Amino acid sequence: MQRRRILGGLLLCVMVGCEPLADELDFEREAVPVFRSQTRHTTATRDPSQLRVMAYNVKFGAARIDFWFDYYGDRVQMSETEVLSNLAGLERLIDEVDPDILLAEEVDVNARRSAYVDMLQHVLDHSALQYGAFFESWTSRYVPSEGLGRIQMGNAIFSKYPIRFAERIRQIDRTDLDPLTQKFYVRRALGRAVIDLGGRDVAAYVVHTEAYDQDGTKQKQIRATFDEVRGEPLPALLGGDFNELPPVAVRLSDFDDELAETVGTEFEQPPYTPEVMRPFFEQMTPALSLDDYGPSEETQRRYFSHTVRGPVHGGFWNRTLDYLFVTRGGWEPGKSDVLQSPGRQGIQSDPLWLSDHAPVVGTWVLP
Amino acid sequence: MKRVLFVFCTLFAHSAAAREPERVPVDSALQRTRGMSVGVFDPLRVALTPRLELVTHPLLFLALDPNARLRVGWIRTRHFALSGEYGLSLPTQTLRFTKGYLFPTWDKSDANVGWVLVPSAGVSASWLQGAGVLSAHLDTALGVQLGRNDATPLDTYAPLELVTAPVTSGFRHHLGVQYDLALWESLHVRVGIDTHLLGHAQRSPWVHDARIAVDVYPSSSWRLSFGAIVYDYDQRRTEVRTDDDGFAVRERVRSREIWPTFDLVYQR
Repeated sequence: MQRRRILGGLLLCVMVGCEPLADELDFEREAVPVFRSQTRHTTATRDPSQLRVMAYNVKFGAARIDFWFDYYGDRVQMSETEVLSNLAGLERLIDEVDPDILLAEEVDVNARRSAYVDMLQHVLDHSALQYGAFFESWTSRYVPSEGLGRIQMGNAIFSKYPIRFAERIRQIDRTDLDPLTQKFYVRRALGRAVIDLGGRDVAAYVVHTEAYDQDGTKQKQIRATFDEVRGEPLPALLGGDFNELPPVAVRLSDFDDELAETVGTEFEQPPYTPEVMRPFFEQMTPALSLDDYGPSEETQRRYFSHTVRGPVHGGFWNRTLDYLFVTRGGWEPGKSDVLQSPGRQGIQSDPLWLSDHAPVVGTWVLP
Repeated sequence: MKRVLFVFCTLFAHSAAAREPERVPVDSALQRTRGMSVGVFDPLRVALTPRLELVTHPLLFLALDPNARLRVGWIRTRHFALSGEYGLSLPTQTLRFTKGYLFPTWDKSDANVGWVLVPSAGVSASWLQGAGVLSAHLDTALGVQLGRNDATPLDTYAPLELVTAPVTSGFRHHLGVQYDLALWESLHVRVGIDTHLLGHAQRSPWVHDARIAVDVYPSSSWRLSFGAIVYDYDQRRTEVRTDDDGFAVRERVRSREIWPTFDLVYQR
């Protein structure tokens, strides 16, 4: 009997320490912990009438390093030196914009590809943002593909103001993957944070939808995002990488960064369906309206926010995938922009070198 | 015809009796003095002389991975054995076969798993007392790069990390202790603990394990082994805890897991 107890106890200890192969995010809504800066402590203006906001896909701190999935290069891993250098560039830009709320996508917190740097904590410790909530979308102990290894990535909401509550909201998964790939694949989730402004609360949502599905998953995720945010009782900010063009986009295909060798691979760009974005522009208030984009590719070029082809290969932003919307209130005129290059909104950094996405910024005039 | 059959059976019985397989305590300092053994996972062991045993994984040769170890019996008495082990392998091609999975494809650059020679050396000692054998092992395997090598530590599961360490981390040192107890002639129990020190990486270089196995000998020619091994190591895992103010803090923790072990060994 004693021996059985010892054996059982040993087994329990061992099994409790076991880590699953991959986190399948088996939930609908789940509260997530809130982190805070360990080094910098600033006090934000209590009960502000405006908030400077920013949406930024930071490409896991990889800047313009050509990773294998873009087919311009074959890098899989960065050194810690590279990651910290790239983060320093991102944080310089963040400090230049000085947002009150930052909605970030592709934030690694413990991944082999980014030298296991906790980017969430690093941004908190190297910017004026004080609080951060992390919404996991891809967690796997070891991905046996292209030496990817451990991955822990997600979206994040950073704020100068206390985050009272944060939760991740499960989004629909792709159905066009084989079971083994599905096991280790990204599980998209909407991130929601309730932010205490000192006199009232607002809600912030960060989104990053599917990019490569062939089964309409992205469109379903976009519609579900709209339904979720429209049902928000608090004044809400929504931003992120929608992987979809605006409904007035002129160019829908044949972008100059798409290499022929991606055709037929898992990274082939599926057709865009911009009309799925229309409800956001009609029933919410966008930081950049359809009138701002204009009717031609020339007018729309000013607000392009993404290109796979970096400046080393002669690339420049060639499409709009990133947006900011609010459900109540409005936007300060002249303060909304896509920071494509130095000089935009007075920045000195060159975002073209910092990520494959340009940040979208605006000043939310609170209701 | 009957006479031929009788002679054949007699000869067979005689030769079978004369070739009774040698039973050597598993993972001890004692090496085979005659015959051979090979397992599903256990390597091919061939007694070249009573004091010299050749150990190799023949299937790896098919993967263009030449590998061999020589076990030399220095001292062998009734109660004590001391042996040395000297090995050499070239695992590069086997690892290159895993490109696209464990390693990147690297199809747009000249990066690759480099040619790495892996010499190894070790010493084992065993104390035999009644039905028990206490053994200790100390060995090292070094990765000698013959040129450029872009392979970095995989930070993967312990068994794979240990096997690839000389190529990806530079070296693997090992210290282990094991006790083998014969409950009956055909049933043994082995328990052991090991510690490994792996080469350059930002993670903790220490990998520890504790193992238990049962060896069953259904006949003199076969051994069936099954058991479990618990690994304790740094696979870059983190956990989130809450600080005194209720905020989250991410911290590194070691990984601990249990693996089943199994082998079927033929010997003659």
